[in-house]
Amino acid sequence: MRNLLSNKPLLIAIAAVVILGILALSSSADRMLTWVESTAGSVMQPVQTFASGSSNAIIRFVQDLFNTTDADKENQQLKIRIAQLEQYEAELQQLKSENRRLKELLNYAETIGEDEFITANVIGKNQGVWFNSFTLNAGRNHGVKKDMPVVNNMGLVGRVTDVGATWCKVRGLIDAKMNVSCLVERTRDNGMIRGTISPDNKSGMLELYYLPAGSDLVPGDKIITNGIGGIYPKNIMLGTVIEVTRTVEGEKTDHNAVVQASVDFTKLDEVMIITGIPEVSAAEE
Amino acid sequence: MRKFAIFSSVLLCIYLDSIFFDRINLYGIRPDCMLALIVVFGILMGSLPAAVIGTAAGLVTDIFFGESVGYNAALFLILGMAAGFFYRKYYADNLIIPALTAGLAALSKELVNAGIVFLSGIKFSFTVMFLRYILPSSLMTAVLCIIAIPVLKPVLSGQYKKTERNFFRLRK
Repeated sequence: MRNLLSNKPLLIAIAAVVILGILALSSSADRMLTWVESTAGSVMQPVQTFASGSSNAIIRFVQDLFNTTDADKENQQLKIRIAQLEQYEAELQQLKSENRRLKELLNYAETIGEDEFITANVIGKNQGVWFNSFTLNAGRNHGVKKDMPVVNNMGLVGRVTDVGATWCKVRGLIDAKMNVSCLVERTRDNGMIRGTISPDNKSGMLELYYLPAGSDLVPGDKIITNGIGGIYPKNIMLGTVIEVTRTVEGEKTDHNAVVQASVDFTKLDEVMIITGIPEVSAAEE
Repeated sequence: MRKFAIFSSVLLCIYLDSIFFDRINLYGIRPDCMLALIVVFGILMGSLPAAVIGTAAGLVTDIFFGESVGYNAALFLILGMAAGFFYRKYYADNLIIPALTAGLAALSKELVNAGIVFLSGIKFSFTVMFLRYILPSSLMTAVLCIIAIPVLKPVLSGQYKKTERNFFRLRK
């Protein structure tokens, strides 16, 4: 037994096999989170919430300081006083900004009618640009379930993919694996929209495809959800067409248009998880 | 002290990867702090500790932020083990080998990511991604490794002394 434990390559090989096994099991699309994952996530969640909140405050303060500093460098006391005032102003701006965001969210909440929702904060995002998912500080205990849509006042943010006790993971609309059934608001043509991969994946570029052959699409057209599939409610804003790529009829193109997502993924703080869509509830029952 | 340093540095890297570098948008370039740290552990502590710490840190990252559980754990296990091949095989003040190792490890990880994305049928311009994201991110990871080595070496170098003491005691 001791010989076995001292055999490092063997130990590493065993660990690799175990991890690959976990990876294979976790690759299943219908997989639910295990209690181990849920507990580990719940332990990390408060730390992440605190770290995320602190980072926001510090970054906003530093940004505001750089944007507003115009102190008189000849007078030290005045400089200190100005710095203090700027700090107060930065705090005030932060509160104003938060107040405005929450008001917008509240206004939006009033427009989405009878759908029930809960609010949550983004507390972390995955590393790299290949996948776009992020973690929210609301989970099973708050009524969150897999596949629930996530929105903010600008439009559709994404869909819940994993749920822990106090946290959940959301796949963003701009993720390349994301496909959403949509329609062009002006022409009522149905299509599909998907995320893209680019060096700066927060730029929010989407691809619109599967439009009917004679579709009259022009830059500036609004793209909204059509409610087909039962996951996303109807009429949630997805984005605006900025470039139509299908110019010649019959020419084979991969997508019909480039769409700018309406949600600004660089400034994603508060979001709403829609918990009360009849289709989702019915599908689960 | 060493355990505390390892634990706190892993937590710091989780914070940097998931929050800090996401908020500080450097033209879309995001270094892989956790990878740089695992390489540093491999070079300063050897294959096995780096593989174990890498697996644990990778699992936490996978559960909380990752696309699928086990993916980062497997990558960090392999890359930590690979970095361990340089354990005590270079001059202590040499920072080029750790930086090169971290850069190559980051490059490998990003190329694996690109391969997975390509195999799953998602189209993207490899040249654009390589020049504008993969290469700059790998270079930044290498730079982070250069910063992390002098910070962590005094704490982790206790292991050298202990090993050498035991070695001389056996010789007597």
